[in-house]
Amino acid sequence: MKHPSRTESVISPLFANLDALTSRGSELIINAQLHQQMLQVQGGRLCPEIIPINRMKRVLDLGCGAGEWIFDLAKRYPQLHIYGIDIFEDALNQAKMRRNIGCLHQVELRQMDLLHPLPIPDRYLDLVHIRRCASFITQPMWPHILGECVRILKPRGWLVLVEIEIGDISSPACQAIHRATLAALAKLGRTMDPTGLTFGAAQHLYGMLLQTPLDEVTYNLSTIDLGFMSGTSGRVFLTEILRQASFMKPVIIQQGILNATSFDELLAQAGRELLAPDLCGWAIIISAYGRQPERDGSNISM
Amino acid sequence: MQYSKKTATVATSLRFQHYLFFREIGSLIPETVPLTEIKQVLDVCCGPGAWCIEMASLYPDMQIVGVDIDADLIRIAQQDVVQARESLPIFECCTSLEKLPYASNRFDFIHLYHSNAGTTPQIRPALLLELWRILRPGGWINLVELEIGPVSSAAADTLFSHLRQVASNDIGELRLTSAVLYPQLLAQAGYRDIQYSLYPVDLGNQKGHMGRDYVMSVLANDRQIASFLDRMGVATREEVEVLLRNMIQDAQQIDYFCAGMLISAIGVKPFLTSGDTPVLG
Repeated sequence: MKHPSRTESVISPLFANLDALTSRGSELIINAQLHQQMLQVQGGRLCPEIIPINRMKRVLDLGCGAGEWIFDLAKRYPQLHIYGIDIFEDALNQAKMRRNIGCLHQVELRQMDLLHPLPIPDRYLDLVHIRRCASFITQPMWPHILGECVRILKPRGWLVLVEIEIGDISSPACQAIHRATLAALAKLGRTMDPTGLTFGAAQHLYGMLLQTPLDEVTYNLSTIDLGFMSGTSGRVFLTEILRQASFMKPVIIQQGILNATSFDELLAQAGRELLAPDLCGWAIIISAYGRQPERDGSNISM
Repeated sequence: MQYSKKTATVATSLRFQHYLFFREIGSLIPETVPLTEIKQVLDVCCGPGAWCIEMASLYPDMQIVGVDIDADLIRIAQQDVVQARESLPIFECCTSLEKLPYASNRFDFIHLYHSNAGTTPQIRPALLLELWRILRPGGWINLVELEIGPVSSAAADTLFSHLRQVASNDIGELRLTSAVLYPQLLAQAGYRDIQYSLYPVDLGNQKGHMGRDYVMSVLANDRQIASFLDRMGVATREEVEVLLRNMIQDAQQIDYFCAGMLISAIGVKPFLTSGDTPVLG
């Protein structure tokens, strides 16, 4: 009998046991799956096509988590020296173990708060990558972080920002619970969309990059199909919506958006609706990127 | 022949919409549909007929019919056909899409862009019932819609799309921008082999202004929405006008970002064995 992998055992009984979603372990596993799905819908690319990683030497992944992106990059480009920074110790510990098991000495990992200046010299890196970190970055922090990125990028180096926004989903309960999560985040001032109807970070990446001294600012769009008709690839994103809701449950209740009973009912209802064979929904991955000018812009104020 | 400035603007916007959609989807008919089995084609809400005219020129052996409730747009379509000198699609005006002047089981393929431009009604069960009647067993129905609003840098866009959803939910009908419900809707109507495809449409301001211009043209023409939202009590006519003005202003900002999603859902009308009745009605 095939022994189910650790990942399958979390994802498949997921809708039956929603409590398991809030554990930190499930977040790491979901992140690993999300990374694979994001790669798949982006044609297997770790970066926008135009960026010549094969000619680069030093890359930084800010908010690297357990290193999903970093280790794929290291395997494909053995010439690279890759730095990973994250504030969460357990994710970083997992990344360190993976580095040691894989003997990937080209990877250097460090625990750090992104709010502090980065211990990296000026004009040092060919590429800085920040993916799915927006929920840990408040709006006033962004200019500081982007300013640091510009400072440490070499002339002609690239900055890549990647975020996801949920567009629409046919399950009313799932939509309601996602809206409740966003409303709670909005009350805490953590959404970039002032209406709190969307998270908003992905939509503002382009605008924020336009405000830096970077050149050639542009973006790519990739679609995530949240339904099952073209396979089950959207399932992990649905899981992530429910995980975020479960994680935010205390705030949702405390802020008076839903009471505990209606939250639980809605979550259970969403779990049922998400199994509908005609489920349809979409999310968008936005990769916005820009390039350091030949004469570096580190002295230009943001 | 003279048309009102408004009709001409709507026609331009709808042609533009066709161009924008076609550029993203890359084909006029979903690739899963075997073209050899398609002879009789109907385009519901055909507007100025851009899709029909392109179909007729690509597939001269097919009989293409476009139907719309807007008589002016149909006259524009008929005029365009004469100018194009292509193999001719037929354009017809009808008073109600829910009572179409076609024989039962006539069409092999029915296409419906539910445009946001305010010239077409919502997709209601009665419309699907009528389309079921005129589609032959084994024929295909293809519903296409662009969702704009939920993913935009402009708060007004997000708010506007939310108001539309709230208003439509209140009347127990489909949400106005509700393309994610199409697969479910087709399944409930009795169609089989339902599939859908998603195509992101860049409506923001990077490179060219194609998408941005489209959003603007939709907003400029979509005045019916104000009275609809007013009637539903979710916002007064004045509030909606202010919101629309904000949206047009936001869309002109250099850092305007908006990603629309084009959803194309397709289903097959099954061959019924005797005693079977459609789930419709």
